[in-house]
Amino acid sequence: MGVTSMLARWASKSVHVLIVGVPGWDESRMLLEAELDRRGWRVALSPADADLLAVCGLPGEVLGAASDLLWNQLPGPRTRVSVTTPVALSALLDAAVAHLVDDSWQREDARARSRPVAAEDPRPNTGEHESMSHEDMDHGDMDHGGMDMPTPGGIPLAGGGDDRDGLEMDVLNVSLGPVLPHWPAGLVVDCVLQGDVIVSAGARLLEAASAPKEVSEKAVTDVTRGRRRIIRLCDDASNLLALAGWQTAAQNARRLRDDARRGADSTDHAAALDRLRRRAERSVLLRWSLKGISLGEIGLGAGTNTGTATPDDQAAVDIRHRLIGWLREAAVLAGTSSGRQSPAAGDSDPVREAQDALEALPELLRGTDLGTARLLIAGLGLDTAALAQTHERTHD
Amino acid sequence: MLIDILFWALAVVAVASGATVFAVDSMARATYALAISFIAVGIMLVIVGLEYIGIITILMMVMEMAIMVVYMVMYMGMNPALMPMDMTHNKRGSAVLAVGTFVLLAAGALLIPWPARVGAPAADLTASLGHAIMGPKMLAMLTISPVLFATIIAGLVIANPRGRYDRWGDDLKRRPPTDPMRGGLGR
Amino acid sequence: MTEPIVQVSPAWAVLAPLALLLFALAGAGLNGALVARSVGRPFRSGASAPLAQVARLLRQRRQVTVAADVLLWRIGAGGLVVVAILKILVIPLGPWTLADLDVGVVWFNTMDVMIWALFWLIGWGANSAHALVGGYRFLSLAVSYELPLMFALITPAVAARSLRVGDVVAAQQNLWFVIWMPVAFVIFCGSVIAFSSWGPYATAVGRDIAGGFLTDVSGVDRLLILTGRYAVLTAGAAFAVPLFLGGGGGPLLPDWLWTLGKTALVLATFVAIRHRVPTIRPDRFAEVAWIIVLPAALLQVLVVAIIVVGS
Repeated sequence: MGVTSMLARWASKSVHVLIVGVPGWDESRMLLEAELDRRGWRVALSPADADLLAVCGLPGEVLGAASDLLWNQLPGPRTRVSVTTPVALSALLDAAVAHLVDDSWQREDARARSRPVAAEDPRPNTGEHESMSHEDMDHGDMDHGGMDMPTPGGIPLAGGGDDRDGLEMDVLNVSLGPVLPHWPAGLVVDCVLQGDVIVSAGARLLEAASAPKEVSEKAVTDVTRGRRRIIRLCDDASNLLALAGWQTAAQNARRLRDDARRGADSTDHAAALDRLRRRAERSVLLRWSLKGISLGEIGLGAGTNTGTATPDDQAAVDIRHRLIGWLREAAVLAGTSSGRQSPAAGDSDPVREAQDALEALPELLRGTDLGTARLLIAGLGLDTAALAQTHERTHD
Repeated sequence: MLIDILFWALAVVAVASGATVFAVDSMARATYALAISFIAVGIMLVIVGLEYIGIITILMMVMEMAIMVVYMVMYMGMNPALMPMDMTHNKRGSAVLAVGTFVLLAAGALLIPWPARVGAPAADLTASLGHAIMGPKMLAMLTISPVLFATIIAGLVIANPRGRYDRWGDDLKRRPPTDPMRGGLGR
Repeated sequence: MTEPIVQVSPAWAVLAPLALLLFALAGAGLNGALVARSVGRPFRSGASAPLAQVARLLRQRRQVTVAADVLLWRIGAGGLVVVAILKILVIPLGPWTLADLDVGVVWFNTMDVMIWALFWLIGWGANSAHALVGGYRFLSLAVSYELPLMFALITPAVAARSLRVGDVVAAQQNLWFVIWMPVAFVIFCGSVIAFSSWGPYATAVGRDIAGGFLTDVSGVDRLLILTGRYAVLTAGAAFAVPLFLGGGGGPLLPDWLWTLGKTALVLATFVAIRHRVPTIRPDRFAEVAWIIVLPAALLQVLVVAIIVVGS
């Protein structure tokens, strides 16, 4: 056995996976994430760190193009899979590993990639280019005063604009999404940045090609609906905790989510959720770090309906309180052993809520820095599956 | 002998990277070329026995360059990483000035009748430097540091477009203050 | 029982990087084990994760972004390990040291300022928005931790009346400095975690900016940066030993073993902290650092200075 194959064998012990989420296909993503944990694989934060591109669901045209762009940014050895059914997921990933360690294939792949790049026009349309960062950054539509300046790498110069202190500062157009860690599936936020401060933003949703086949509407009883709600709440909480940089708590929330998916014993589960909530409540550092980050009036509508309403309305829109509210609601849902829906959640219309949240997003993000913006978006708990439904309605 | 070679090599590095500052076409490279020049000078100071001064030169200058590059990029605008730009201005005038200064200093260094050394260097140069600063030179330090400090504060006050009335309201009672970015203490 | 510190032949210098990298690897192994446990996998499977990671990154192609400043990028990536090695030159291992500098404490400080430049260069070189934000985040954190760190480093030097690391160790023969300068010790540890962009201070490589300055690095470059981060963390942990924890002092075992043991303990603590606390946002930390931590560090120096002058 040669050194290279030994290296390959070792390297394949921990594959780093870049996950492309598709609206409405969260179930596939969670399935994959649970399987990755089981294997000790890691979720990559960016394509440069990934060996495997996993598209969870059937992406629409634009999202598909975005994932092709990301595929180009995987350094290689690389391989890609499409996860749409729970069936044979393990075999799919095993095949991916076999592909990754296949040196001859990877060499061929590398050779095929380096050829067209060398022949490329030095000033291509940046959207097609194989670098930039993976949020599909689009420098294309920037105003640079109409001057015919050189554009190194095909990237035009940034324009200027007054910043919040009244100084002139570069503005850079950057699109966040559709693929970022802990990001709502399919969401794209087109930002105008000055430094890391968002001057203005627009939000849009990239659609799926089709929704996943429902388990059949009849089978969705109150129990499964309650459980689904728990899963969503845990998933949202896990994302928010991860963005707040608290990895152990985020991991804990994710495990509880996976327990709910597996149908764990509900009393233990409720107790575990309650423990996590208390932990989040007690953390001084989390309180300090999230203090004052609030969804403002936007959160009120959504917040009161998710059972997070506290005596103080101001507190209800604070993302820390939302986080705690999510965990409390999940614990209550798990505790009522039948998994019955809580009355509060019954009134809400998830589609309407998600649509309001998406519309409110640009206003919410204006003037925030990137870190805060990410926390706010996570705090909204945007249900892109519900949004995908509305899009289908409006587009038809 | 080896030390001599090292000294001269460092001298060449210092001058060459100093010249590179004006030859490269990116501000990040220009700044860090200057940093390399300073590092070479710092090591030379260490070689001549001034360990403290040499190492502190490296410390201060690298720190300063790390901050300076931020300001350079900020003030120059137009994403300069990408934009090749000329690092020289007023070429003829500055060339004359630079060569003139160099000739003057070099001539001074070579032509001055340096006095012969009286006495020997202290055993611990760092300690004797400390004694000099805190002893006979204390008055100068006591004068210079408040002046420098006052200059910094005054500069900030003049540059700051927002005063405390903007932050805490007309009666200075608003809590927390209105800031574009919340501080860690909410004050 | 501490003997006077002697400078050993430079030939031993080859062993220093080796020891540093071994410690860094052990730190990475512990981290891998803790991560494995958090996802419910066996402890041991995670401990070998760093080796798998090394193999993976050695096999990976390094990718370059459009209009990247490759020279500066590579300098940033390669520089971290070098800086970490330069740091440990002045750390005595029991009775031996590689460079018995008059100003060892300042030397360490200088090397950690180098990290300012290196992390910024990594963020700058990639020419991508998230990486650049990461680089700038690190600098904004650096202006918060650096001054308190300087005073935390000066405190033991004041007590020992010397900037030489050997003298600092000798001055702790009766009482470890950590006992009567706990504030300086805590600030020092916090700053080591900060300059390694680690744990709660890892905002420059945060998940919210898709890995920050690590966003676009791959292959060997990534390996060098990740190794470098562990190495500077290790060097920081190792420097806490002569500065605050009595150097090689300890009963029964030989001095050099005590130094290694204490280093391992401090490093393990740093690694264990990693995922356990939420992020400390640099924009918020600035105010805390300048209004609370810096005065606390100054007070600590003052107290120590009064005690030293008085005794």
